[in-house]
Amino acid sequence: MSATTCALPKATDQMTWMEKINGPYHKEALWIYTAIVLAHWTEHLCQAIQIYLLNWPIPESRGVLGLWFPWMIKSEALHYGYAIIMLVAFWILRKGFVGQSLTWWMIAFWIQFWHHIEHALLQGQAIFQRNLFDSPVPVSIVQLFVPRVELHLFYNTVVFVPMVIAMFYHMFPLPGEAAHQGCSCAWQPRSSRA
Amino acid sequence: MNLIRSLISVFLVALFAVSIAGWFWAGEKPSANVVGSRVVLVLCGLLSVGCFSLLWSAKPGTGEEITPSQNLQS
Repeated sequence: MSATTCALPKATDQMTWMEKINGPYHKEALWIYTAIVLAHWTEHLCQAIQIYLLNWPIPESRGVLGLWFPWMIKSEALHYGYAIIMLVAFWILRKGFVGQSLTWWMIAFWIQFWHHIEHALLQGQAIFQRNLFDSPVPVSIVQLFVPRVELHLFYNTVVFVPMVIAMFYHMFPLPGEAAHQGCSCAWQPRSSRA
Repeated sequence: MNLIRSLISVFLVALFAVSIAGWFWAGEKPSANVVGSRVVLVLCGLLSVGCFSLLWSAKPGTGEEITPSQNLQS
């Protein structure tokens, strides 16, 4: 890997954990968050491959972990929990972004906010054992127009893409932006090191 | 950086491929929501291509170069 960084600002005892996670440890936090997001993506893409390419029946297409732990894909609480974790992480990590990268990060946050509302509706139906629109299974609002598999593939895409763009502008800040205050995420050319 | 770009690119390529496969799959199903499926799958495909292009459009040093001292002062 040819990535290089500028000097890492040191964490001090006076810094709050929010300042640390958006400063000296922002890069590590984004790595962990990206790994979690990509693991979740893997599940959705594998499920789509099972349905679209392998022609498995939809109920049998449970991604990777769902093949061994079928309850995982059926658990609305798990889906909702993940949506909440993602939303909270977007919020917590936002202060490390500035300028264009912050704009895209917040676009991802607000789309994820709606995605989480849809999951909250599903979770509510699972809890109260009453489904909206007299549906035999829990449904969300947009699910009235788009089937669940495609809808959540879409939701994850429209959250993932602005998130990647935000990270892109975070690593390649636009000229004139006082980017990367206190974090070491920017990709520096090798010549500027040392 | 290239590692993470490559890793994310794998997912974007997979998303693009899945979107195409899903577009054909949806057309074969007698579903009332086939239009909805195809619209979102087309959007997924287009977004994956756009994101992939942006991701590889930059090279190190093309952005504002921030030295460690500037980084701490700003």
